[in-house]
Amino acid sequence: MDVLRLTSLLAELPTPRTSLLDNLGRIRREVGPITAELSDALADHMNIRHGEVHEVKSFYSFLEVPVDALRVCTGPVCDCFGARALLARTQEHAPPDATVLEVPCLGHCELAPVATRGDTILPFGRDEPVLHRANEGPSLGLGQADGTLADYERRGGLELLRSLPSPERILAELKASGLAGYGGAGFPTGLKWEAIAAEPEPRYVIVNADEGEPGTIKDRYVMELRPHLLLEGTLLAMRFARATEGFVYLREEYATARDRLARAIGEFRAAGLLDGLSLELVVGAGAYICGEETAMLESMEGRRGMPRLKPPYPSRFGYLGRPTLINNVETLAHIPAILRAGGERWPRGRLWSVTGAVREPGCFEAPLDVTPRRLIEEYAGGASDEIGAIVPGGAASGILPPAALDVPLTREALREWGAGPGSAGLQVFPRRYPPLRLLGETMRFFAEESCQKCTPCRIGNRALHHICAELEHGEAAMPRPQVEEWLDAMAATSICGLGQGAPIPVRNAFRLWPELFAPLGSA
Amino acid sequence: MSTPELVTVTIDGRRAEVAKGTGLVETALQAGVEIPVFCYEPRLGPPIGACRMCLVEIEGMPKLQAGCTLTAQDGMAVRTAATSEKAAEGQNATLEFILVNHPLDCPVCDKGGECPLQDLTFRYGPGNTRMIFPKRTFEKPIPISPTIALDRERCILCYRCTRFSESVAGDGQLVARNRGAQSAIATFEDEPYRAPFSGNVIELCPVGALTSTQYRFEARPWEIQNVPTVCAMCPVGCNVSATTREGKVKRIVSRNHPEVDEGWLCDKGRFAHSHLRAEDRITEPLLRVRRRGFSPIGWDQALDEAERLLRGAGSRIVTALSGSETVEGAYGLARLLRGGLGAHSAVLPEEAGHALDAYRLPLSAIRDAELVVVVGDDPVSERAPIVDLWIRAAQRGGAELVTAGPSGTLLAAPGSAAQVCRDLAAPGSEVGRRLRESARAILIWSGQGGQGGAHLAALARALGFDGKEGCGAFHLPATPNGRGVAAAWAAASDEEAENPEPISLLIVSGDEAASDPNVRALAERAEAVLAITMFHALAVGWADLVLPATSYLERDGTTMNLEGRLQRLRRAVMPPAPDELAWLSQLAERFGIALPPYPALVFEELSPVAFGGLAFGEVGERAALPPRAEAAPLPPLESAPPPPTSDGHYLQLLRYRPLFSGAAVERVPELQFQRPPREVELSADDAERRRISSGDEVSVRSNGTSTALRARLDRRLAPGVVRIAEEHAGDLHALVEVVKA
Repeated sequence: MDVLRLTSLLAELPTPRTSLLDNLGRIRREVGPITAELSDALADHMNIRHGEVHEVKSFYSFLEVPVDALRVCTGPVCDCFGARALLARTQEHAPPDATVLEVPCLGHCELAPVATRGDTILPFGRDEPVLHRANEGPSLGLGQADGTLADYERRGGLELLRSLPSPERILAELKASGLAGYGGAGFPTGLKWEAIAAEPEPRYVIVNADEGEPGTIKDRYVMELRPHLLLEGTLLAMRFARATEGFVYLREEYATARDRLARAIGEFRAAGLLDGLSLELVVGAGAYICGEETAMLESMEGRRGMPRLKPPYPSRFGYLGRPTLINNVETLAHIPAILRAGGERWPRGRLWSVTGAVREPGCFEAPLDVTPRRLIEEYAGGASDEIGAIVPGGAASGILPPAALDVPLTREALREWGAGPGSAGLQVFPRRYPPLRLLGETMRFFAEESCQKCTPCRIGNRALHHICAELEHGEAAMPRPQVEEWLDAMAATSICGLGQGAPIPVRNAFRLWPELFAPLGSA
Repeated sequence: MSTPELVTVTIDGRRAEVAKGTGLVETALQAGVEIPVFCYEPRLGPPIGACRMCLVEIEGMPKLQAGCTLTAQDGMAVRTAATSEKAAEGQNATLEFILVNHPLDCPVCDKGGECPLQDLTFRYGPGNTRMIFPKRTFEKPIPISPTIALDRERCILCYRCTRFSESVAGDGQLVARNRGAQSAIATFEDEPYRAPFSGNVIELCPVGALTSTQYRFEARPWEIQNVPTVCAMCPVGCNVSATTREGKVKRIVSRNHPEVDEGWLCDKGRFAHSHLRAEDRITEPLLRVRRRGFSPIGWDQALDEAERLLRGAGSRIVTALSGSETVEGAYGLARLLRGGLGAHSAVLPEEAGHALDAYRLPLSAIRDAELVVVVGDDPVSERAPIVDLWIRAAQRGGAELVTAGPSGTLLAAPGSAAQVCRDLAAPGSEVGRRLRESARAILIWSGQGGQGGAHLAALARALGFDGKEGCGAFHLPATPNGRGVAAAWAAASDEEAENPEPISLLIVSGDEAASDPNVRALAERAEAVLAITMFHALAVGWADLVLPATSYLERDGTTMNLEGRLQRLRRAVMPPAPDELAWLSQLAERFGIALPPYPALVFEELSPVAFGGLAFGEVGERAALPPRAEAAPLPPLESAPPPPTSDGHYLQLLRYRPLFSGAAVERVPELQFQRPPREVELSADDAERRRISSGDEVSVRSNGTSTALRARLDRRLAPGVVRIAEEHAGDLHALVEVVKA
């Protein structure tokens, strides 16, 4: 540990409790993994009790790990494409002082199997350049990256900021567009904005950039390719909500997005677009649950990222107890197009991550009712293998057989399959990858990422993962009726979406892959 | 105060009318319906709704709701598991989930038989177990301190203990570590949980995860008796139950008096009881033989000896009282000595006036304050620990705390509390102005100085507290029953005392008096010493006759706490020797004084003089606070000369008596880790000037005495002051040099 560096760094670190996560991150980057001594030194500097900092730092996966640790992703897509072998190989060949870590999902599924060393992405576990495959969609225009603010402006950017539509018009267009949150929950954006406007000032705006659902990489594409577009959407939200402070809560693993956003924020500031406003990047530290909006608020306030009870919703009681508008990255990125085209004429669509057994994995803007087959064949270069299963929208959306390839990926159509579009992370799995293993990996993810606040999620996910693991050996950990009761109970009694959503893939598999569950007996 | 709006809530078809905003759990209780809970505990702050045991169905809400997080709203219709199938299913599943990892080792668990998890499983749980796969296992139990063991397998992660540690006690030492499958309760960096209120987590734990090492495998709930009594280890007088089995006290648990302690205990009150069975406990009278030897004697001989000493001394007796006697015990002594012998001279533990009775409030009023001002040299937690929790509660509620003392938010020199009071009363004082304007302000005197109450009363009067219901003042005395003892001593006679010289006989009543250096000094001037003590070590070397003393857990009677609340002590176990009143009664008889051996009768005799004729039986299990006294003229205030102050080289020594000190604590092995380390606290300024850093060995010297201590920097301590615990300060004088060793 570099004591001198610590001393000079500490002097720079702000002391409000809300800076805790950021401070921990900076110490980790600039001094070393957060040891007990570092944690205590920071606690003393910030005048917080040692134990509280200790609690917080142990909640996140990465604060106690060196910055240059080699992280191997074992999310479902990576697992399918040989992540375990990569992990074993890496562990074997790593120098003795290197840290090799297995992590649940790095958010680079199109490069599976993927690893990172520090901020460097290692596609296929090797040192190769990272490419984006995206289409020039009518709303987001990801086909072309904006290098600078000038690039963005050349494509018609910033017009809205310069002549801001009235709040009434913004609301009317949002409602007319039918835009619903693309983070996964699908709450109508117009209603959310309307709610915030009814609350007293001061208000905050937060961009949820903590994308973490395995198979979902779309927000990263937006931030890496068109950071200015996101910022324009964010500033529109701030101006609408009359918020002077805004935050982008970004997952730690997204180093490139972090750089591009930071640079873009700098450009906005230099151009005077942030005058009188503050827009800060808050970087997470490895905790999927912090993507849940109230857990994110807790995390930003310097506590363990455990979801709050709702109501009150963040629109009423959010960051520091103030009304807070929280939107997903992609959602905000659509708003300039909506306001430019008008809600009625906006080409309704969303961004789909298409990964797994396809020839050209990437992110594609497509209509809301696109089918998996079209996404695979018309956007992602076709299947690279015989398709065995697809996951339509992210870990909690369900595992569907090839028969579902022609189902429109809408909420309504997928409901008939017991699934949902979730965060639009379409994953294509080859026939050689056993669906049971996919289900097991999914449940392992939820079990490891459960924050452990509420009983059903804490216990239920561990139990479901165990059941899947046993089934792989042909053994039954509990009879099927009991599993079904537990699924119902988790959905009905968990506090947040993680625990409520985790039963979906299992229940869905019961229905669509009954043969996998034969050892459990009949329903 | 405005009357709260009443709302009507229907719970399982029963109507309850409660104040709007009442918790749903409490509302249901009022309607006679139980909503079972694990994590819910309103004393810990806002509900977290984590355990999901309290799920109910609310009309108009599609999903099950955590009942503990809701409050009563008019017209709310609630269905609990008793009438809602959905709620019952949810609750069933929750219990089943909780039991998935719980080891069900009830037969070897101390909590068994008084375990909420057991009880609620029995009442609400599924009738059979369907567990098939392996449970999460941990090493168990692990000590998190010498007094508390943690069994992580039994833990259901309700976060009650960590919430207590973080929010109520504010020590932040118990933490929830990690996330996901690895998450568990732990102490910070695996250090022992060393904090004055740690033991409360044992009672808060709704399962057997946190248990008392003292009580481990000692008793089962069906073979114990819980005796409702009051802790007499400090002037707060927390209400407790003494758990006894086969004539022994096995543990102390709280018995929530909402105005006094809110159900919290400090670790001294909770764990110190094993001093009753200390190895050097005196169980029979002792007569001095040779210089340091004692010979046990029978009671007849002991009373003969006592009579001989008393008759020989006549009125030339000085009685040193501890302030830990019961009111009745002190009165008994007074009747014998004052009535029988005309020996009126007494050393009372401290001067306790009635001046503050005009500003009397229950301790719980501190929680509702918006401004709390503490004056004096001692930290509140060392003198009256629970008061510290009340202050923290006030701060959580947004109150401002101002401490004026040597390490306060307003720095004041040691021994200057009286001056601080005068300053606050002066027109120019900013804090004084806010105190004057506030409708809910509290003053607290936490330090030495017998006239503290009077000084505080003068301040309260100057600030216009008279007639303001929400404003009050508390004096934190050094002894548990100083007021009661003074009242009892005064009730026996109103004759003036003349100080005898020389002293023929010094009577030392109780362990605190026996360990007081001033009393020891008095003994130098006495021809004979009669000591009433519990422990051999306190009597040896100076007492000529020793009569065994009893503990507060071994006697009946009354005691008066710092609020002026008279409370009942109940005998939990028989003492190993007759109690004080028993032999005092016999001894008194030899001097023609009729003194009943029963506290109830003694109280009846003294009550009309001292307590307005209150009947013994009416003191009650949860004693009430007498109303505020009429404002009376204040006693004349004396100004003690200020202690010598630092000249930069010599530093002013501030001694304090730590909570974890005294004869009882010294005899409890499990509490040794709580005692103050051999430390001297220095201000950053003084340390820097002497090139001393925290942890350095230093030598503290004055006039020929010196003691080796470890330095600790206290950022808040005033320059020119060093603080040392009484037991490590020894013979040091008021001004000391501190030198790096």
